[in-house]
Amino acid sequence: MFQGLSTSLTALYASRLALETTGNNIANANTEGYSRQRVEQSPITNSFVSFHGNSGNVGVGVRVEDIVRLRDQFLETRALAETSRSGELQQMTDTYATIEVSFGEPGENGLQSQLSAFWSSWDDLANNPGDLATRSQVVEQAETLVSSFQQAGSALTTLGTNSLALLKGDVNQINGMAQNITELNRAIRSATNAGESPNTLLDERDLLVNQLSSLIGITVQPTEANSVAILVNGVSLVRDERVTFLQVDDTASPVVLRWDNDGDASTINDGVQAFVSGGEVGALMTTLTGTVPQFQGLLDNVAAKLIANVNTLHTAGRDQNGAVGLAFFTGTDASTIAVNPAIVANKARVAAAAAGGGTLDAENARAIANLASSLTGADSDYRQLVDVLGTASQRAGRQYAIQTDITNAVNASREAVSGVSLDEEMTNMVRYQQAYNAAAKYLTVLNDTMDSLMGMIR
Amino acid sequence: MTVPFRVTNNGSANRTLDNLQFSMAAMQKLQDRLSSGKTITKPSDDPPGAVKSMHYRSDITRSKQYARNASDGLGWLGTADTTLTSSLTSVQRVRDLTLQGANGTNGAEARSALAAEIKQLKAGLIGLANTTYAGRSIFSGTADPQGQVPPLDTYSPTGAYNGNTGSVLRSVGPNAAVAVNVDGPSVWGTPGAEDLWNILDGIEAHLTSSDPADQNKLTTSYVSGGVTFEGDLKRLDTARLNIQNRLSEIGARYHRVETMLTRADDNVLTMQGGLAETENADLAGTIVAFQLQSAAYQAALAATAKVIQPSLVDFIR
Repeated sequence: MFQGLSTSLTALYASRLALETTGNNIANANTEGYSRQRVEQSPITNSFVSFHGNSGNVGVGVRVEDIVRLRDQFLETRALAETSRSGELQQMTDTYATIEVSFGEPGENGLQSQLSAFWSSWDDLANNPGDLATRSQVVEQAETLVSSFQQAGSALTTLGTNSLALLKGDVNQINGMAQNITELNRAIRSATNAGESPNTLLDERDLLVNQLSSLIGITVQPTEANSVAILVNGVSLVRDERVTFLQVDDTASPVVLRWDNDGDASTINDGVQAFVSGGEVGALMTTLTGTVPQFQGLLDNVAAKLIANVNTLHTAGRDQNGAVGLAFFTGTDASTIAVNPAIVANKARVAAAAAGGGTLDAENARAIANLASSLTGADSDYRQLVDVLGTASQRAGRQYAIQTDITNAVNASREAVSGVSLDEEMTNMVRYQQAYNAAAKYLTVLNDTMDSLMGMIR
Repeated sequence: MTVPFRVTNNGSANRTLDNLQFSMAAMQKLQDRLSSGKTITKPSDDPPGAVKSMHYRSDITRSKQYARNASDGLGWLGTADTTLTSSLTSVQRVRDLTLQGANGTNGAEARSALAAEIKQLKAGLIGLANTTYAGRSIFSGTADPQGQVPPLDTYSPTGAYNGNTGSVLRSVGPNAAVAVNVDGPSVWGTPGAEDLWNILDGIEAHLTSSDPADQNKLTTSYVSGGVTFEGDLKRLDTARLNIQNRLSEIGARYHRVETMLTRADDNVLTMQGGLAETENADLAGTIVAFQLQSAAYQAALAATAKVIQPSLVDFIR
């Protein structure tokens, strides 16, 4: 009889806890990274063998086993990979967009238009070789062209500098997050060892890991006592309560990432190289070691070809005073290209005449102007560069669009498992409320029964 | 996206937001097209199209330059044409005068009057041979006699040639260069040996000479210093024919350059059309697409406003 009292007490406790959990779920319906929780109950079996018949088979109440988080580990693992990929592709798309803007093609202000104008100025010189003004025009146009090359080149350099700054910021953030994860690991381990359910801490850590994965490609391994290890390409960034920091070594060219080996952030080139892929950091490394050098190289080739083609013809020609032509351009690539200062100082040194031609011969100028139509010239190389850039950028953009869909789908599936449904919580609330009411009613009934029993004695 | 098995409030909110975003992005793209009027604003919009449009742009610049070169060439050739036509008139007049002088009925006084007129005609012809176009002598090849110190004429008053035989070429099309000049010697004859000025000087001398043998040289061939010379009249005819030939040659070149000019202008138009087709947005199509997209967006907004609000909370009292 008295057993019934404690049975109803356990029922009241369990229902109250379940109601509280429901309340907590509702409270956190919009909290980022929150996984809905559920009370796991089990009956308490009667361990006594009763003296009075079969009553020993009746349980003696309910026990709350655990408050569990509802998550699908498979989806969580996938989400990490997809988030990394998303972060990487977003950064790559940004990088290509920046490069595209710096070239300004197709348009009136791009390098192509400057090249065309430069060739045209040689034809104008050919039409009027006696006038010093047409020679000045050629030099002016060449200077504009040179500054266009330098502008495009320096835009790429700036992209590199900005990407490096971004990379350093990201790596700092990764190190900070890794540090936080070790601290959470410690707190989770103590709580777990004390037999508690550190659900909030687990959610917090999972959120952090997810954010980390958008910065860098990682794999997560569970270790004992609910701790985790976080691996970057097989090397531990975090293991339980230990963290190995990443460092950006920009003394090397191109830049490399290293694992810190002495806990001293000031020495950056003493650790082993860290290989990363995925995430914003993966994309920035690709930008710094691949994309930027690639387009710098292509642009340099265009400049080198322009320099070589024009100089070959120009040095074969004769200037206004009949002297052998100088090299028209100095320098070897997009950053060093310049109009020969001797020609800038004395426009008469522009070699319009062919060797053996008269003073007003302009065959050399005409020949240089005809480089515009050359199929192996700077123009054609430059168009190829723009083609490569456009195609790569388009591919990155499309991949990013597809990846966004995939990431959204995975996140939707995660949300479907872990998200709070208010309808469901309302239903649970009604259910647990009824259970509580019923348990309380049972207590009243027991009380009445007890009264009846006691009344018999009076 | 497939609808997951368990629908949560946050899940539907996220999905709705994603869909709205997608709709907005599509609208933004169409809006960009409408406001800029272009479908290609950066290479990744359409890489082959971007390269094509760069091709068009550089070809347009090149064709415009060809047209400019051709116009300049037409100026040269036109000037040469007018000059040679006037020269022919003068040479014809010299011929008439020579014929008149060769007629034995003229007295010494009449012949010297004829000689005086021929002298004037020669000065006029040398003036024509010094014709310039845009400040540059058109018969001096690629030499620059005016640039010398002191400046010289292409032909000095005595008929000495100060130019060369270089060609002045203009690019009027891809791999098409046309010489827009004729050098002096090819029109007026080789300097020092047999040029028009020599012939004119000879006629003048033979007309004023009192020696009948000299007078005969006007019409009949003679030997001087072991070399046989044709009569002056015949030599003049040869020179005149030469000028005529040059004139028709210039006419032919003028015609060719004119054709190339028309072609270059046509090319510019054609390629500008091609560029527009590659780069420019189809306005009507874009506007229709935009209207459709904006209708879809508004529908999505309306649906969102209706769908998100109610939940079981609203029905439990």
